[in-house]
Amino acid sequence: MPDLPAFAYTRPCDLAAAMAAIARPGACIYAGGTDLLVALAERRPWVRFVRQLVDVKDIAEAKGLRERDARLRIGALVTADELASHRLVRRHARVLAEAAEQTSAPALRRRGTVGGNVCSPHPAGDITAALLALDAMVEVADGTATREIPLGDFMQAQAEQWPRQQLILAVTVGRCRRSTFSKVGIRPAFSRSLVAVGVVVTDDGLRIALGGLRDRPFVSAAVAASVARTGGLEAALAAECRPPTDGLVSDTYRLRLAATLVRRAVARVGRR
Amino acid sequence: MIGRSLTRTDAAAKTTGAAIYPQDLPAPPGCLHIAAVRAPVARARLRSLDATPALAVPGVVRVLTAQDVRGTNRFGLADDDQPVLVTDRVRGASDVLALVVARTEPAAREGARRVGLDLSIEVPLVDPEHACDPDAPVVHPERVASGRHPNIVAEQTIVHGAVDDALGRAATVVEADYRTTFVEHAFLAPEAGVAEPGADGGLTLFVATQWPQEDLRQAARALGEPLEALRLVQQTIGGAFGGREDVSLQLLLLLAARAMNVPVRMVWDRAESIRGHGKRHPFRIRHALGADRHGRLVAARVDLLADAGCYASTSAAVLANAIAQACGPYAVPNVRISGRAVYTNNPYTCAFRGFGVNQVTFAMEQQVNKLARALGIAPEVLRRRNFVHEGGHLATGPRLFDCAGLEATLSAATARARRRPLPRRRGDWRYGRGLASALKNIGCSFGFDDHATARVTVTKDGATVWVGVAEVGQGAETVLVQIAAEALALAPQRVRVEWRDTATAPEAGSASASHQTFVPGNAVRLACEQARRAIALLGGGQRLPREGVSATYTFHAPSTDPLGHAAPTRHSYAYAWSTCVADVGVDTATGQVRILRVVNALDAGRVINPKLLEGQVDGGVVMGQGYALQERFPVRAGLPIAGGLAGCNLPTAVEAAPLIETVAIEGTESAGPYGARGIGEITMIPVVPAITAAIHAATGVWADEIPVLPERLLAALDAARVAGSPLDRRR
Amino acid sequence: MSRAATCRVSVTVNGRAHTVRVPAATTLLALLRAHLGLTGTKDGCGVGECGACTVLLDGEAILACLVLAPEVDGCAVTTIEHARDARLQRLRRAFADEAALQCGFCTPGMILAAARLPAGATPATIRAGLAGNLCRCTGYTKIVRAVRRAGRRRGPAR
Repeated sequence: MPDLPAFAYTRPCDLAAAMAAIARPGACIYAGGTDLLVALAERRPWVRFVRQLVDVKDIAEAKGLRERDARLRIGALVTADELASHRLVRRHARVLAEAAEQTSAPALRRRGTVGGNVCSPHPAGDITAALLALDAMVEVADGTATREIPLGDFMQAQAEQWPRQQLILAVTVGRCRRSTFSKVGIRPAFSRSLVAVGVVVTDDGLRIALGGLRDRPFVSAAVAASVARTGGLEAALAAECRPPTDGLVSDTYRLRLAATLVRRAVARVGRR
Repeated sequence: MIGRSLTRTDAAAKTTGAAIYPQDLPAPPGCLHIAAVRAPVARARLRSLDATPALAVPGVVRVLTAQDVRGTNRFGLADDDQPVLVTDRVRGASDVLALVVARTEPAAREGARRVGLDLSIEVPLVDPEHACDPDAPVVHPERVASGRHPNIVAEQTIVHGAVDDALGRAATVVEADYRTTFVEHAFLAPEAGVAEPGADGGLTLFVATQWPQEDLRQAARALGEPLEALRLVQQTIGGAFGGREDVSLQLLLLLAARAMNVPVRMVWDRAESIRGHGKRHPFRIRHALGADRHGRLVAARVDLLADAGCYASTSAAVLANAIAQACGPYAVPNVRISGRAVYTNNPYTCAFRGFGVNQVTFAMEQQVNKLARALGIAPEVLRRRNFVHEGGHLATGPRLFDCAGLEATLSAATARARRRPLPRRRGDWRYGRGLASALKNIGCSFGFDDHATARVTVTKDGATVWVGVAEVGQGAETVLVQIAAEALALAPQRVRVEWRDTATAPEAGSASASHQTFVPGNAVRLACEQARRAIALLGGGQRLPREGVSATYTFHAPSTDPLGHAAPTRHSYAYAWSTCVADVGVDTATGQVRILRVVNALDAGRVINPKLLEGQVDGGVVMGQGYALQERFPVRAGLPIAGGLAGCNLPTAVEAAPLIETVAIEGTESAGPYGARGIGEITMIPVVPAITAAIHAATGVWADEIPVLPERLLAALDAARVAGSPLDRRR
Repeated sequence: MSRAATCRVSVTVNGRAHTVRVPAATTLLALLRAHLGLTGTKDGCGVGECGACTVLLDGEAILACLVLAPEVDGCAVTTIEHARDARLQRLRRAFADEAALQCGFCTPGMILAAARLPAGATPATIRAGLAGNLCRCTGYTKIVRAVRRAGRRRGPAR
């Protein structure tokens, strides 16, 4: 295997210690490791700045999945595997369970975390897309305070600048009665998504999140509005998407795939 | 013992973690580690290299370059055109420019990252269609061209009859260009090994390879080592499929062990493995096939262009094989089959399960299926009408015998397929069934002396057979135990087959061409029969002397004639046949294809171990499925884009054909051991055209390029819709 | 190397306790193979793309190449070398009987991944459960059959 560059390792036992550790230069948050260890093994350019991995898997505030004020609070350390099988998620946030069970591969689902997925830089983050469709909030520990911000805003801020002292503790989502997730990769299993679609039926209509169609997953009100209009969906997708250049498929095909997935997801969720 | 599904002799070792693959070898005491320096480009002149930054890394002890190679510094399976270490010219991804030697593996890798390279980068030749342009970059300027373009590795044309005339008079002609791409072998175990100098001045290699004696012969020439002082001990081989027939890291290990006079170890990670060995040949096949109105084939004009990549490897043999089988198992009285393999700066191409026959079978079977459609004749009827019959001539001249099995596979496959109906259309999904037949030569053809030697010793404790085969996973060790047990009338538990050490196991040829059952199998059988006769002469097993009775036999396969021979008796000494029926579903909104079921009827002679044969069929079908639908190996400017397995897009358990039905027909007489022939490759060959025929049945679209990526299929479906598609009339 | 860059790891592997000091930047895979000499767990790619390094960590099937050695301190690991695990024994027997292995390189990871599939799982469930374990030799057919067979047996392994 490619050998890892040298780094130190620490495993803080509480949030305060964790925040202190990640504030240090060269600190890197380590949860499931399914992205981070690959990046280290492949020696991505930023790897040479990494000095210490801060293993956050003991932080109590980042664990667990429970109902709170009619919302679901999902600890950042909850794995894809746990999401896929959790009674509350399957019942009240089905799009998230479906994303979690279709993403990646079984052994990786047992390690990949919600927090890791939200921070992952890939255009198609299946769990992130599902969370966006659910209009998730992110609970972030920032220095000594904790605040809650919409996931979309969090991702925007992250793209602009990643402040060193930030740790995701949890995401919270409201309940929904009807929702679904759909993805297409380069093979039916064990593949990053070319296109991923999360659809949630809300009181105000459809909420649609898309993965693989911009540099990060995003919600598109225009696409949701266009679903009912003949020919509107293709136009909305063309206007809203900026497909990443991964050389796997053409932009035309990607958009076509997106339209098919959106239509099918909407039809499926309408039948529930 | 023949026909019994004996449990694999290596099952226990492989299911307990006891089996040692090269990466599992511990570093011997005093061992140093080596890492290769490779270029960041596919084509360049190496002006100089600077080892100083590497030597400054703690633990790095030496940097070896071409100057340290004592022999010719050249190796290859056919032409010695590949350098152990680059002297002045980088030609492709697999080139190694220097070898960093260090006390630890991480230090060696770090050193390799730091060697300074002064490269004069040149525009690589990447398009084989332009390899013979007057101004094409020359890949091997050091090679004497002898009148033809220096980028031509091999070319040949076979002509019988008057093909242009016959095509002109044919009732129906189908004409198309077919394209196939690079494929990565993706054997699961990346390359690794250890080399140790001996007290006697010799060198021993501990690696996993398909042809140990050939590795050592190349080492002797390239490194200037006396052949008799070289030894190779095979470790457990983690898959091969042709990708371990060429030298990979063997010469690097031997070079370093000699230079440092201590044991050395090298382990390749997946990215290096992908760079370091060859790929399947991409082919462009221009094919015109004509038939009379009764559906009898009258003419075939085939032009093949194969990308040989940066080194010749076995491209000439692959091309010859492709030409010889370009018209499949059909009688075609007028043919012109021409082919050319050219150098480019792409990754070198080499042996890969099928050895050129996959590509030409895809084209020919698709052409036959198109003809069937055009003529309104059922695909199986058209085939029956045109299969070469007993004593008939293959398109390239030789007569075919013992071929009744071919038609038997067609009958069996179609009968079995009929037992299960196709699903009815549902939403955007359409379903279709397709059929293809194929033949595959067994063993090395065209005049190669395909031979193997086996030695057996029988004592009161049982028998030991020494034969230098390679158990690459196909079950060769188990099959040879069965053959020996049968020949000696011993229980298989009392028979051992020793294949790993060149010091004791005589040469048995390469683990390729599906030949190990036939050639080493016969050597084992005949050696054992000889021993058994000697034991009988002594008065039976109770009269065995303490040292036992020994016998040695060298079996030579029947002789064959080269391609282009004016009146060839045969090009290959045996064939296997198969007919494959594939059922697929196509999501016509996305272009995705799912395999529902594959029926594979084959005649490879007597079945020695039914479960092992089924395993080869299963594996060949899924490898064919991957080749047809999804496996990629994108190359840019001569270098692989995929650094790992994910990019190669191999089939997982989810999309692998969920139902594979094997029908083994033990039809015809064969000179193989107990009538067995060989199955390693035939299992894969008809799968691709059966799938593309099924796609056509489902959608009306002919996919002439593989892999049939969803995007491409969708584009073809769109074009068909615009043209007034028959799609809606399909089930 | 600073002390913080090495770690003392006490881990139970196949029922046996081990304590080693390794660099923090050591994967569980390297810990098993290089430091403990347990080479049964294979290195097919090192980056989570093949499944050959699947082991059980506190009972869960994970990829050893993507877990760090320091975090398995205090944990229990099961590898293919575990000689007294009834599930593994049933799977070994079934793989051998069904000829569900050829080159054998994917086999340790495949068996460990299969060990956590529910008994009585359907072929589709088995295939989905093994989606992350690549095999290039067998086409998966006999692997699925072997896992089904191992799942149907009850009682101690024969």
